[in-house]
Amino acid sequence: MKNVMSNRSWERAKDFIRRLCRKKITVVAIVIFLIIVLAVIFADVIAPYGYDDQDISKKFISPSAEYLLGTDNLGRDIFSRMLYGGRVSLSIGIFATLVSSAAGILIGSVSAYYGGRVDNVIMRIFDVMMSMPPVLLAIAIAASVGTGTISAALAVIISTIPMKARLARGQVLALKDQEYIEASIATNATTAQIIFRHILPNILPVIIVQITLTIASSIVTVSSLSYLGLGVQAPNPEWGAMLSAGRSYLRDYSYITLCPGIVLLLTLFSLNVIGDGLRDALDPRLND
Amino acid sequence: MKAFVETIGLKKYFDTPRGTLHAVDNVSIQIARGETLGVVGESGCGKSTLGRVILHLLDSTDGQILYNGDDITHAGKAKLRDLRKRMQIIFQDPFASLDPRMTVCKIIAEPLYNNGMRDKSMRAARVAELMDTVGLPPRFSDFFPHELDGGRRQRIGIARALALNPQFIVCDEPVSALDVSIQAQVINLILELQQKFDLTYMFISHDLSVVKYISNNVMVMYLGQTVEYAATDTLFGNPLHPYTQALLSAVPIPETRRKKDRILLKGEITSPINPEPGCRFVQRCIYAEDVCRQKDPMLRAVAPGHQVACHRAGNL
Amino acid sequence: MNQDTLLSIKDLTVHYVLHSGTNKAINNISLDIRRGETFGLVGETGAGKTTIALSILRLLPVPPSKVLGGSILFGGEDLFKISEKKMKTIRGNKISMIFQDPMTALNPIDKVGDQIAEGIMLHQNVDKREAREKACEILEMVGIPRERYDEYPHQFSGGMKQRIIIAIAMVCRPELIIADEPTTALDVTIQAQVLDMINNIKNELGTSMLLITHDLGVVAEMCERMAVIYAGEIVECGTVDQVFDDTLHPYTKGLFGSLPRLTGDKVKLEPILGMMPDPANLPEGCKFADRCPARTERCRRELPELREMESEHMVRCHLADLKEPEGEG
Repeated sequence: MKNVMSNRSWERAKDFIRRLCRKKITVVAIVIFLIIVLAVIFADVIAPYGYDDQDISKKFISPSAEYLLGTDNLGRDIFSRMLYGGRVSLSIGIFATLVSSAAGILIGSVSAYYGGRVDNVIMRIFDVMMSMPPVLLAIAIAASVGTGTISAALAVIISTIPMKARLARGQVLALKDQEYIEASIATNATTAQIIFRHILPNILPVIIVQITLTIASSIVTVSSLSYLGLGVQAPNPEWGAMLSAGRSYLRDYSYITLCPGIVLLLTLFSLNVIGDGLRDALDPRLND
Repeated sequence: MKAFVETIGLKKYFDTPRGTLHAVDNVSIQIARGETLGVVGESGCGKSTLGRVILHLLDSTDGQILYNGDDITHAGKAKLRDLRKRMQIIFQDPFASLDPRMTVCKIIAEPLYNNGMRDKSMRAARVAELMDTVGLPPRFSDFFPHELDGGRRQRIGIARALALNPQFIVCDEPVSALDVSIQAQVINLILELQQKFDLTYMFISHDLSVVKYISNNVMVMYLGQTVEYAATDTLFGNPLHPYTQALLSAVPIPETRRKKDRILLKGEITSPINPEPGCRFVQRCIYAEDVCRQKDPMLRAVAPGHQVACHRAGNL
Repeated sequence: MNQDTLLSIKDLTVHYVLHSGTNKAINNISLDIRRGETFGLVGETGAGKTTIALSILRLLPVPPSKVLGGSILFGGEDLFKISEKKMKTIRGNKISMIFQDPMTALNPIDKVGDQIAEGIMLHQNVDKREAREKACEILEMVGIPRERYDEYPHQFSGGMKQRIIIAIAMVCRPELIIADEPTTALDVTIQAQVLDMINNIKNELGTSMLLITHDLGVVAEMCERMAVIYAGEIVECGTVDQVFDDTLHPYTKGLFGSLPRLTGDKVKLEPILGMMPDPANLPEGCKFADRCPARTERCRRELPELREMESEHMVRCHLADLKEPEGEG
């Protein structure tokens, strides 16, 4: 019996991967994303220079053999800064998204399941939160907490919780009248059991897709914040900050902005496509 | 006959933006131990709601529910937990009533877990036993519901309902979504289980032939009310309410050379929102008279064991 | 080919090529529908009934479907060989279809009358006013007052929505209507009304109908001839009287044995054991052999041919034998 079980799980895993890779573009996106992530993780190994190594004599060098993507106005190697910068952008984006997702899902599910006044109050609070653009929110947070990585992460978390909660709530509302929930109630399941055993696993596919998309938008938010001078501060590299720094040199030394810009673009593109692919692959009932 | 499951004047009303929906209106039933009450009617008659109210999946608005002589209408939480082990439900839709993300054995094991059986091997043994009882081969144990066909999915639902050794099961259209040849298998299974475990059933269906086959007594509902209630042979042999007559004549019979003597009702089935006084069937009834529009017909016994709610019963 | 024959399907084979295997939906299906008759196609889920319906109208999803052989003759032409442009003049016009679920077959944001008129304007050279008039006519024919032309689908009940769908199907006075489980989703008393209405319209307009259903009662009431389909093959066909009264194929017998009876004495249900084979994994020989109480070795090895046992009555079974008619020498 054990053997049979692991066989079936293996079959299902293979099936899932096959469905995920059905479209070529999804495979391309996965590869791109993996390359970026690995490059960023192994920045120490790959980067030829430190992110902070300045050599004023070597400023504004175009992409060459010595400096793969050129140097910026302070003689720093852009390629190395991009690798280290990726660490900041990606880690804040991913971490903040995961935290806000967990919180949002829990709050949204509970709110939907209990309904009534509880639901109303929570949703109105979120409405207020959602009416504030993330950037304004970030400025407000920066004003109270100060600038820096933490403040950027906080801004992302607070601005993305409402959407997650909304999504989870919508899913739960659709689910909670399903007969299998009724069946569980009829067999003495407690509310907690129902939420954790039935509701969460069933809303997870949609949420997972949303998560990949939110990671993408969080990276944009973090980058925007750095661009504006909030969030991550110099000399910490971060893609948005690099974009901002290159602003003044856009005409003559466009590569200072283009390079981090393109990598940002590729990251977002691949996350979006992976999100789409996951959505198609995760529904156990979807067949050819 | 001492009723095992009984309701007295049971009512369930819903508040809707358009008014009060009288889903179940003053329904009284008595089911003896080991017997089956068939509940028939079309959309909006309230049969599914009735089943759920008895099981406390919905709160009743008025009236009483008695289980083995015990008034359980306002049962508290602890009492309800205990009752739930003895009253179960089989659903119509084998798709919607099983969690698509749980395997077969997890679905059947859930009631066991919820009620304190925490030992994994005990659960596994009981699940194996239940799967055998309902005719599910053990290899389906870690399949997902969508990987099986309707008939097998329904067996999973039955196994789940049996898990806690219930005494009373509400069968809510358990075979309506199944193919004819599978229907027959499941009907026979349900009957077998009744014999084996001394089960009492409330069998809800719109399919009169199935209800006739499986029930001892039958209740016909229309727009929330009981219109006729009698032993199976009596009701099918001598239907007295115009709706029952129309219902019976509407069923297409799989036989050739039958005279087409069909009663065709006019109009549509309405919904029981803010009902007017008078008989609710009056708009579609070919025998309607003034009294039918003005006074509510009471459910009364026109013969021993045969109740009808019609002013003109027996005089049509 | 009989003068009377309207549609003739010959040796139709359609498979669905999926990643997980090839689903052999229908194999060597042949049947004829005559003018003015209602032909019942009976089978359970997965037997292939809807595939046949979609094939006639060339509405099969391509891919994954593949027509591996056969022809469908209508009005002297093979529907598989004509151009899509020509096919469009046939769909909704000469041959139309009624689907099972009335709830989703109507456009919720269009007036019902307009949805009917759309069909007329598509196929006939009439102006808007005339189209509206024709639509009103057909509305009355299906039992809906013409004043309701301007209403929307959500304002109608399930039974009325189905009538509207029938109106859309009938408005161009088609020669053949394919009705796929047209009343399965309806309540019994409403079903009776709708079936009655379909019969009236059919008789008035002389339309033929291919009625697909799993309900033998509906077949008895509505059809003159019928075919029983199992695992993609026709296992028995003939007039309704023949198939009901002189049932030959064990599957058909099993179907009748599975039905609880409303009238007559209570008879114990004798369900057919087992399940229909997986269309991606069909056995050799007779497809029903695994479930057949009378099977022999030959049944497993050799696929039986469709044999004519008496005029019009055909069966696909090695063991079928017509009873000796009683009282005749």
